[in-house]
Formats: sequence, structure tokens, C-alpha cells
Amino acid sequence: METKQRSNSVAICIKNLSCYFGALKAVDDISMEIPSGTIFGLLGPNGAGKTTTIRLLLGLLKPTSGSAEILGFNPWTNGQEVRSRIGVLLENTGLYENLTAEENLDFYGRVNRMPSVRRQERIEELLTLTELWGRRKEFPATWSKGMRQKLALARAMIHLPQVLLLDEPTVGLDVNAAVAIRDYLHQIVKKDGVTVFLTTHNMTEAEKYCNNITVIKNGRMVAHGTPESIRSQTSINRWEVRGGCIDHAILEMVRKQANVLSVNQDNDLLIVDLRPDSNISVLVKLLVDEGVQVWGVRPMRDNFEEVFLELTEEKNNDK
Amino acid sequence: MINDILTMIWKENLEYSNQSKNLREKITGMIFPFLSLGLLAIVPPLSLGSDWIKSPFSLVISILVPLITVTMSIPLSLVGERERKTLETLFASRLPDRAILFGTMFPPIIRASKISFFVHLVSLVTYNIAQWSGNLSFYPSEILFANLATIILLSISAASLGVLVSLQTTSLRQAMNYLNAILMAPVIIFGIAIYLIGNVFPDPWRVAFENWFEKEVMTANFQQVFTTISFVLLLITLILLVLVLLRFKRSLVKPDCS
Repeated sequence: METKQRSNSVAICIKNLSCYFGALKAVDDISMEIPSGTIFGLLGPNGAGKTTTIRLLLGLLKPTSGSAEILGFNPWTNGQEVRSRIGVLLENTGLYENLTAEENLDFYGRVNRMPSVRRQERIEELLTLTELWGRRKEFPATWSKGMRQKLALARAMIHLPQVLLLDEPTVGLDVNAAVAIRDYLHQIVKKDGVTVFLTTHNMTEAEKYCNNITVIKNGRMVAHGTPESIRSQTSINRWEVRGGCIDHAILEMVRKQANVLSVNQDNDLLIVDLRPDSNISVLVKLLVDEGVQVWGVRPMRDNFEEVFLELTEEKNNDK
Repeated sequence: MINDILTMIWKENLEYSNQSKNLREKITGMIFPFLSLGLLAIVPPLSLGSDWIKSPFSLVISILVPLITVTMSIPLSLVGERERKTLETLFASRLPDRAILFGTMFPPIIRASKISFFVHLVSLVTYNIAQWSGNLSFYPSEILFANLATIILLSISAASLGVLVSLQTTSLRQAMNYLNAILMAPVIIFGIAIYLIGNVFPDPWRVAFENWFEKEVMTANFQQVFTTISFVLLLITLILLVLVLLRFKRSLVKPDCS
């Protein structure tokens, strides 16, 4: 009963999950809760443990310790319950080269016990969405990587799963196809309340589409939260101050402030790096007191890729 | 469970029938069935005459066809799934382990049985045309039963063996090599035994063996010999099946060949 109540709000719950292969800690003490109807991104460099985490959630690997629940079911004791409710796109597309595009979808529709009429409707709907309907009688072996990826994604969604586990879903897709897929994922999350768990290397994708993100490195969690909160976990505290009457003396005065790490001037623009816990308002007050006409102050957002690199490198340096 | 097995069988059969996409592949694919027909269904009934249906010679069809057909097909399905990287996605589906296992094993077993029955049928037609006596001739009941039992038991054993070997190997070529070695082993052991008895063993041993063979084996009737062989084959089949059921679990099977 408790499990069912939880499953209404939390789609995936992971507690202290670890998976070791001998001395190698592929996944090391990961914990997180992913709310239903959200897009979750698992970010990490190659070999960070993203695919192992997906295999653990699918019940294909047994954990060394810890637990996980998907929609209230344990993947290792109730594997079939879990797998019947989720759609999967793994590292490899998993398409049958001796089956046509339509037959590939038909097979997984049958696997998920969809009635014939519903199966045909769904195949048409998904192949139309992925712009593959005209090529449904072709064998995907001769297709481009992007087309195969789109077909594999359609296969993952054939039975309208409650949770989608996607390993690098937009890798190899052209920009238009990637945007179409992301928009579709966004749409099914909004409309049908589907929960999407995806791994990605694409930081822009992660920031733009994911409600929550976890960054992992060497199997360990480095950061977890919304994209904004992850930004705030980094030490970057860069501000842009635009104003008049900024001369050399003002620049030197700002540079000497204890909370200022560095300052650069570009005509009437000052770019100031503050210490992580410092507040810009103190500096602005000082500038005004010194006679600077402050026209505008705004934080400078770093590229999310830089945030990711800083997070993973920082932890690397710690080690 | 039965629906799941039928779904797997549907997929396996569709993949099999889609395999030969062009005329060249289709012609190549027909070589084995035609060779089987020629060598097993036409030549022996013509050269052996009435011995073909009265003696156990026809068991050659029931032994060779299932062994060759099934052992070639199972690694193609199972190791092929791994090589084509489709096995992990299949394991990530809701299909139970046993549905995947039986869905992979049944199509080659059914195919081997169909080919064996067809080759037997052609051999009987050939025999009846060549030796027409005014009545249709058919295998005596004990030969018929022996053929049926051999086809079924050998097909299941070969399929189980194919699965076990496929689980241990990383490539299709390796699986085929192992299976060929396993299937050739009894022939090689038999050859070595004959050589040892004839050339290496001391005379008293050889004489003792010849006496035992003439007394026990040559005088035994077909039914006794076949019942013993069937029992041994049944035992082997059951052991292999149990091993396959214990070993074929998605948590134990390495999903890719890397």
C-alpha cells in the first residue's frame, strides 16, 4: 500500500545503490528520487556509470548493495512488472535487421500484448511522427544512424509506457530530428504524465529539457538538483556591471576588494568574478559611493558545459 | 507465457523467412535441403532396396537432419542476437526468460522435424516407385517409432546443446566451432576405439571383446537395442534441458559480445 502511494508521486526511487565489478566501482552509493511526469537527466563523462545505472534499473544487473524502485516495484524481485511499464532505448538501437521498420514495431507491440487494431494505429502514429511512415516496408539495416535511432525511439514508446529509460536518445540525430524528438518527449511528459529518465552528453539538451539533473563521475554523484541549483553549486559567481565614469583608479579599487577574485574592463563594462559566497550589492554600493554611474548589473551565465566540466574536474582534483 | 512464446516464434520465423532477401541467397539457402533430399531420400532407397524400410538404415535421416539443422540454427538466433546487439533490448522487455528461451528453441526444432518428415516421405515415395509390388510399402511400426523418437529427442538435445554452447561463446564462428567439435567427438572416439581394439589391445582382450559383441550385441533384437538407446537419449535430453533452464536467465547471460 505504502509502495503504491509513493509510486503516485515518485516514479523512480534509488537508495544507496552500488554496483561493483571486482575492484571497479561502476556505481557507488547513488541515491535520488525522480518525481512522476518529469524529465530527468543523468549526466557524466564516458565510463561514469550511466549505462550501468540503466541496466540496474532494468533488473539486468544485480546491485552489490542498495535498492531501487520503479513505479513502486523492485526491478530485481518484480522485474516483469517494471519492464512491462517502461520503454527502453539502450546504447545500441536493438533493431532487428531482418525485420522491416513496421515489423520491428509490430514485434514489440505484440511483446507488450497490444491488441492488433491498437498496435496498427500506434505504429502509424509513431512512424508518422518520426517521418518514417513512407519507409515502413524497408529494412533498417540500410538506414542512417539517425533514422535507426528514431525508429528505436518509436519502438520504446509503442506501448505508451509510464516511464521511458533512454540512453543517449538524440545521439547521431540531425538538429531537426533531435529537436522534434525532444519536443515530443516534452509533449508526452506534459500530456500523458510520462516520466523520462535519460542519459546524455549534450549539456544544452540537459539544461533546456530536464527538470532535474544528476551529474555522476566515477560512479559517484557529483551534483543533483534542478539545472539552476546545479549552477549554484559551482564556484562561478561572475557579474557584468555596466556604467559610466569607470577609470583606472576605480578599476584598481575594485581589484583590491577582499571579495573580488578578478576584474576586467571593456570600455564601460566591468566583468567581475566574486568569491562564491559574496554578494554583488556590496560592490555596487561601493561603486556608486565612488561616483560611478551604474546603468545595469546582471549575472553572467556560464555555458552549462563549463558548469559540468567544473563539477567533474573539481571532484577529480579532490581525488 | 504461451502467448509470449508464440510471439517469439512469430519473430524468429519472420526473421528466418526475411533472411534470404535476394535470389542468390535464396538459391544458396536451397542447397542443404536439396543435398539432404538427394543423399538421404533418393540414393539410399535405390541402392539398399527392401533393407531401406525393413532395417534401421532410415534412422540416418532422423539422426543427421535434426543434428545439422538445429545446431546450425540455434547459434544463429542466440549468438546472432548478441552480435546484432538486439539481445539486451529483448531482455529489457517484459518477456519472461523462459518465453525467450523456448521461443528461440522451438522454431529450429519444428523446422528440423518438418524437414526430417519430408525427407522420409520422399525416401518412401522413391522406394515405392523403384520397388513397386502392387501395394504401398511403409516402415514397420518399430522402425517408425524409432524414427519419430529419434527426431524429437535429438532435436531437443541439439537445441539445448546449441543454447548452452551459445551462452558460453562470444561469436557465431566460435559457437559453430565448439558445436562441430562436440558433434564430431563421438565419431572420433568411436574411430579411436575401433583402432585400439584392432591394433593395440592384446589378443586375449580383443577376442573377449569380439565374443561379447557377437553374443550380446549381434543377437539382441532391434527393439531391445533401440529401447536402451532411447532411454539414454531421453536421459541426456532431460539433463541438457534442466541445465539450459538453470543457465538461461537474463541476470546470468552477458547481453553483448564486448
